Amino acid sequence: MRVAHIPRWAAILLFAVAALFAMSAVGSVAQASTSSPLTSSSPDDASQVTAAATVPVSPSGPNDVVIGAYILNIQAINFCNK
Amino acid sequence: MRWSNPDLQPDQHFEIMNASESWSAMNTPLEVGPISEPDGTLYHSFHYQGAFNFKPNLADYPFGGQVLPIVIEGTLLGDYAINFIPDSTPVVMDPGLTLPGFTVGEPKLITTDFEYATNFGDIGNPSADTYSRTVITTPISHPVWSSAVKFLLPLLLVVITASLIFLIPPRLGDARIGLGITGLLTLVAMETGVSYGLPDVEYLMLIDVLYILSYVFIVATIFQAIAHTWNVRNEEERREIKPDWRVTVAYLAVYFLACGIATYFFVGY
Repeated sequence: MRVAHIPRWAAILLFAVAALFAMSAVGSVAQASTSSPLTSSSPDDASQVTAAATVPVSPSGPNDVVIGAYILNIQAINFCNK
Repeated sequence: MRWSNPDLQPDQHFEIMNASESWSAMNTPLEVGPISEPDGTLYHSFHYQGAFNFKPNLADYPFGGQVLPIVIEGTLLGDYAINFIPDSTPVVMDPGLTLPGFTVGEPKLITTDFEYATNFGDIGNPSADTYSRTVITTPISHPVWSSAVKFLLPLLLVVITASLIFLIPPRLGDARIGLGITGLLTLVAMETGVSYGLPDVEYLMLIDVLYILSYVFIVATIFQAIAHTWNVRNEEERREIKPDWRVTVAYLAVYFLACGIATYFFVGY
């Protein structure tokens, strides 16, 4: 049986696309497995954060208000408010 | 928040400056009122749940990142004005926080004085009004690999498929043109899907540029395929198609002229 002749450039192009697809798939899986929001997410690191927060700043002036925040959740991002 | 002056009431005189749909926001005090701390200061904390406005910069979309702000400002001037100062660990993010589709960076909290360019008509206060502000920023970014798979790979596949036009023999003109037109329609459908979730910005985003380049590539391949098909036609076909070509040019001229006249009458320029 005669096999259809594929030009060399087409074969190289198809190979490049297949390689790109494979790399993208591997990369996205790796990204999903390592996408941690914080670099310090272990319980030990969390306790260190708590320990650091126990050294408070004192309001020295009569109008000083010491402020801090804890971000509990980000529900979603909407770029265009549709 | 913590303060020492008992006459100051910062827990009642602050405002979220970039709140969105504030009717749905919930600001829940975690204590009945300010409580006394061992060092004599007063303490009051809140659980705020709501939506916040931000203006995204989408020039490098689907790559790049954004910064999500929360802006808190004191609302009083004079003796009762608030002067925010950050705590020793001003902002902490929950270790379990995840945002699908984004990588979340380290948040920051800065305090600053914001000066309005007016005194809002208060003749007792001739200088411009200045209020203390707290700005909490959280950087987020699109993961490069997943963005490439979601947005660029389909684009690349359509372009590669369209480039296969030149593997089809020139005598099969219908198949060649059909492949190009199918690629063009696929691109239009894909771009509509992508732009649906994005605002109408006045600048070109990276994804727009990539789509425009893809359009140009496919249209160029269709033109080339048609030109090649034209060349393989015999002399009789060329003679017959010449009147069609003249009519096509005339129709195009009339079309552009009509569009120009309609635009002039409706818009005025």
